[in-house]
Amino acid sequence: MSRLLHLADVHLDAPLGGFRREANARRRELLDAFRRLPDLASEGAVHVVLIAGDLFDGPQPAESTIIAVRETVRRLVENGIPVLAVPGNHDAHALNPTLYEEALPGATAFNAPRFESITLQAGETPVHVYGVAYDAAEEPDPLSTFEKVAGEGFHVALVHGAVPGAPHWEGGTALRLPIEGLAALDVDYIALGDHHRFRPPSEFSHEGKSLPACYAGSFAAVDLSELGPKGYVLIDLVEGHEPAIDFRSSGVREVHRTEPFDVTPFDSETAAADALGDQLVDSIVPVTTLIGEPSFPLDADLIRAALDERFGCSVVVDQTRFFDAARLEELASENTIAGHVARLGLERIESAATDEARAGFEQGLRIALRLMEIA
Amino acid sequence: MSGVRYDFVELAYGRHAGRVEFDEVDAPFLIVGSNGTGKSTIIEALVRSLYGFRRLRREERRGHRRRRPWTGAQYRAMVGLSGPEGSLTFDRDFESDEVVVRRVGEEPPLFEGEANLARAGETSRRYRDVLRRQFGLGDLDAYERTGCIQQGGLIRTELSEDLLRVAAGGHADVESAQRRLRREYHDLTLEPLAEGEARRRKLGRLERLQEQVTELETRARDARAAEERRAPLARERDRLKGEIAGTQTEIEELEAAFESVSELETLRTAEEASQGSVRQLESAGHELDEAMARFDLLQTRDLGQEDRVYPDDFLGRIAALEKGLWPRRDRLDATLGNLRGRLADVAAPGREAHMRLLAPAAAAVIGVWLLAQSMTLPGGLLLLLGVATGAALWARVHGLAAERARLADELHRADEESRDLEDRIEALLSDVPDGDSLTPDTVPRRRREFERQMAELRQLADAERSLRNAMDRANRVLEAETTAKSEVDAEEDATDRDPVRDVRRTGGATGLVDRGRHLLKDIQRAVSNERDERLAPLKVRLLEASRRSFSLPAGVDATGAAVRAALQELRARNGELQEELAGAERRIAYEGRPGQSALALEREIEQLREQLEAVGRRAAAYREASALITHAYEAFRSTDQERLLSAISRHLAEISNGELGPLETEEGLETARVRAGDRSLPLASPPLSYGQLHMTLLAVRLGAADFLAGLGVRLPLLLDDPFVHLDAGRARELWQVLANIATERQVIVATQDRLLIDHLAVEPDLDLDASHEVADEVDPGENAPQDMASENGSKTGPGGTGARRTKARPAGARRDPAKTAPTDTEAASAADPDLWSALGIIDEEES
Repeated sequence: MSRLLHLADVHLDAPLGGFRREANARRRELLDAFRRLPDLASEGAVHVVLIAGDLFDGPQPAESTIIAVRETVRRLVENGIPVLAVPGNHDAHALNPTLYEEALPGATAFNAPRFESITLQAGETPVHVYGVAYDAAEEPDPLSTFEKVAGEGFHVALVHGAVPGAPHWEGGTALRLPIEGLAALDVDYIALGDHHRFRPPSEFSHEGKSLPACYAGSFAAVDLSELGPKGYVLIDLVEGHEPAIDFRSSGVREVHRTEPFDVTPFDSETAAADALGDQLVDSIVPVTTLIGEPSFPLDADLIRAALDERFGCSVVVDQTRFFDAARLEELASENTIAGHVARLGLERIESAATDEARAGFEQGLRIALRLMEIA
Repeated sequence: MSGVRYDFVELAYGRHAGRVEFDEVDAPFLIVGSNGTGKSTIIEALVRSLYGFRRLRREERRGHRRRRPWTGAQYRAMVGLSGPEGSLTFDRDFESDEVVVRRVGEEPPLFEGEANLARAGETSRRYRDVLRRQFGLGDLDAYERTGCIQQGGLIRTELSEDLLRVAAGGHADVESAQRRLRREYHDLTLEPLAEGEARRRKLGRLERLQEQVTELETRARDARAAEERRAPLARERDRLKGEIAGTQTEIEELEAAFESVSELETLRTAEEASQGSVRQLESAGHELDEAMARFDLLQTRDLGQEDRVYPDDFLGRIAALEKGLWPRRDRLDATLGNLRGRLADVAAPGREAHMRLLAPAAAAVIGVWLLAQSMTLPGGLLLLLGVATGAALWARVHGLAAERARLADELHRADEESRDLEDRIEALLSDVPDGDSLTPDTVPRRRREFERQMAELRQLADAERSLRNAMDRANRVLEAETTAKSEVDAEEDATDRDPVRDVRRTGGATGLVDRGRHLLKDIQRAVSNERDERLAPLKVRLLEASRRSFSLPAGVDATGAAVRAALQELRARNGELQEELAGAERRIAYEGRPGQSALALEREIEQLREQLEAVGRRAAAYREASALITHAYEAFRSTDQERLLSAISRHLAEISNGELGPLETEEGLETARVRAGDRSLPLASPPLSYGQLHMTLLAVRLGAADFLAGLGVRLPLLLDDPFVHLDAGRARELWQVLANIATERQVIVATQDRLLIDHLAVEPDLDLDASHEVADEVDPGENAPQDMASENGSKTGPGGTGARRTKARPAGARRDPAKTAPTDTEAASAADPDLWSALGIIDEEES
């Protein structure tokens, strides 16, 4: 049995601007999580570490980041755990050919635009690892350069690229990986990078059979749209069996979609934010959808601001239906300016041609009523 | 009666301390009292307990200070207010502005906290919400513009857009909402909120984000361009690195091959050397063997012959004898014979010869004597003759002797020469075998003997030299090829030796031959060793090495020289490639490295654009909100204006008994005019009389309150001295209007005009004149009691608010007198001392 640790898309030094004021802290958190890799590998009795590209967010990471990575890799190698890596499209070999050599001393970086292989002893079994650094100008079809070496042991491909349906399949600069191309590799495991969502082999099938391919997903969410746990994958390769995949969290705070939160019982954003915050654990970046029929012109931005204070960063999606609220109906029946504002607003909401326009009109109505201090 | 109503007020406010209950009757609640009895204070307390003071305003700050309880009690008031939310109490602490709102009989409070409406905080907002839900207006200004006419407040009534805004909405000021909206909007963007507005200078979030996006787009473009420039360079560098790596690999292969090739070559060379050694040893051995055999043979042959050894210069000696010594000896022998003959011929002079000298001598002596005898002539002649003859005789004798001596001498010299010659001949023949027998006659034979002997000796010497050479060579070979030291004396250099002499000196070559034999054995042993210990293992190693595989680039022969040449060429190429790589590195460094990849920047731009869109949507929502408020306000303003004017006109007609009204305007309310008969007059005095203006302004207030009531905000009307400036008829009309209103909404009226009350035939619900004499309308200031006392000519302390009277009221306007309690200390003591005592009213002395 050979046990591999597969990670990808760490994006060290990414600006993480989506996390707003939390960006700096999150960058540190991400780097700290990567520094724990030797401990994780040792604790997991890992034989080989595979890095499937985009270890860095750019071709010229900060010197301090490179130092941290060097030390981490050095500890892995010192522990007898070989590290193999391919560059991604963010830290492409063509942009800085020496980056992986400088940052991963003692590791094997596949920097050639055509498949290369190396054979290692992983546990009691040899493992033949194949890697390629995609460079369209040099080799537009690197999959065609794959040549399986003869010999006992497991065969593992390490590739950074997009399969059909992945975000970079269309229009990206990443290597396009047709499913049939992956199937043709005929290896025991394909460690993929580029797609930031964990995709186990069950999501890859060719001619009715699942492929032993897997996206480890991003090591940690690099923007607020990357929901759920992020981390790395432990793979057990056993002769005659499908690879056993075990996803593990990197420990970086996950962007967590909470249960929809009903604001109907509350009479202010503060009260709603307090109640919502009390329901959540602190170790997440919450993504919350507000629902219900608030009795006041709820401003989701105020709730988000309150959650930002508590969790560092948050996402609040407003799906409340104030225009359906009884209070709005009552208000609209009044012969006042506020009533007329409510009536006008409702008319515009109902006449909206698109959901986007409808949302804009409703937000306008809420702002108007909030500023008119109508509750 | 519907709408909102005050149920009671319990206060420690200014001069008042106590509680007043307001009956729920369909008639105005009438408070009567002379000037200074505190009518206005009660009216004000009702309002302030709900709205507090805006102490940021100087006037209100002074008002707040004035109303501190004179008694030193806690500065507070609690109002009971019935309305849409039920019966609530608003308990305000005026010092802290803390308010507790409770539903009667319920806990916990609906609101508890600071209720400073001047603030925009969450707490104030919640209080305003509570107030608005219960009372209808969250803003004191709005109340004072409509249903609340405090003392002196009527004259400040304005018929303006503000009134319309207040009346039309029953909500917070639309302008205020618009201001807040504008402020929040311009936090988002500098774009105008509405058409026609100028752009702001200060950037909003939208513009700042846009700037960030623009900057990032520029950086992304630069990064992309740099990447595009760098990519080929990087590829070139990669290519060079690849080529260098390939060259390096070839170099390493060649170096590895070179080792193998060199090993093979070394082994082959060693084999050849070994074989050469063997050959040399064998050759040296063979040569030595032959030399020894020949030497031995010659030596043996020589040893068997006669021991006649001519000197080496025998021929020279013969030549010297033949050409010099022997002929010279012969000549010398002849000379000696001759000399000896001649000497024998020359006799030695004897006595006779000497005697012959006596005669001349005697003649000479005679001559001398003669001379001495002076016979000069004879003497002279005789002397001369004697001398001459004697000299001639002397000369002759002496000549013979000299001749003989000369001959003897010559003979002697010839004899010596002959002996010397003989010595030399003897010396020359001394070591010549049979030298004695050597004569010119035997010379030819002896010369042949000598030459034969020399030829044999030369052969032997040659053989010896050959042998020594063979031995030297053998030694050298042995020294060179084996570690064994030859016993041959290395100091002897064969080239310096004279073989003939060596042969002669050694007197034989037995030792040499022995050494040669030893040496030959050494050589044979060395050959054997070389073959067994060196050559054979070399052949094995060579076989193994030749079986070992190594690869060589095409075109490179498997020879050390070829490999070395190929290596040299490859190393030179590698050096050139390294230089090219350095050049590529320099070019890449010149291009500079982008800090972030274009991809990362694009993702950042994308995120910023999302934020930008969100801010843009929010800004659009603000514009939508602004449009909603503006449109709603504009739509309402025209219709509400008509409705408001209509309500005012109706009241004006009632109060003035048709003398005034209606109000008319062609534009806004600010330009409204009142019709008086045929004339249309502005709302000012003059041209209106003061009474007419008072009636008009009252109508404006009542109309605005009616308008609000029509909108569902049924406020209690508070009117402090509304009858002033009105004649009895007008006052009655007004009372009737108020009575009519009171059937629908609470009306609380305060007046000091008892004559009018009598004229109207109504009873006050609260009579503040019952016992007190102190006015409360003056500013108490810090020494308020003294001031009030001085103004009213009385030294009594703050008075109570009088006793109730139970006078008949108009039908429908009766109420339960027991529900209204006086709050003045003295009045309390006069009317119901126990009650006032129970209420804790403080007496004059205490204040």
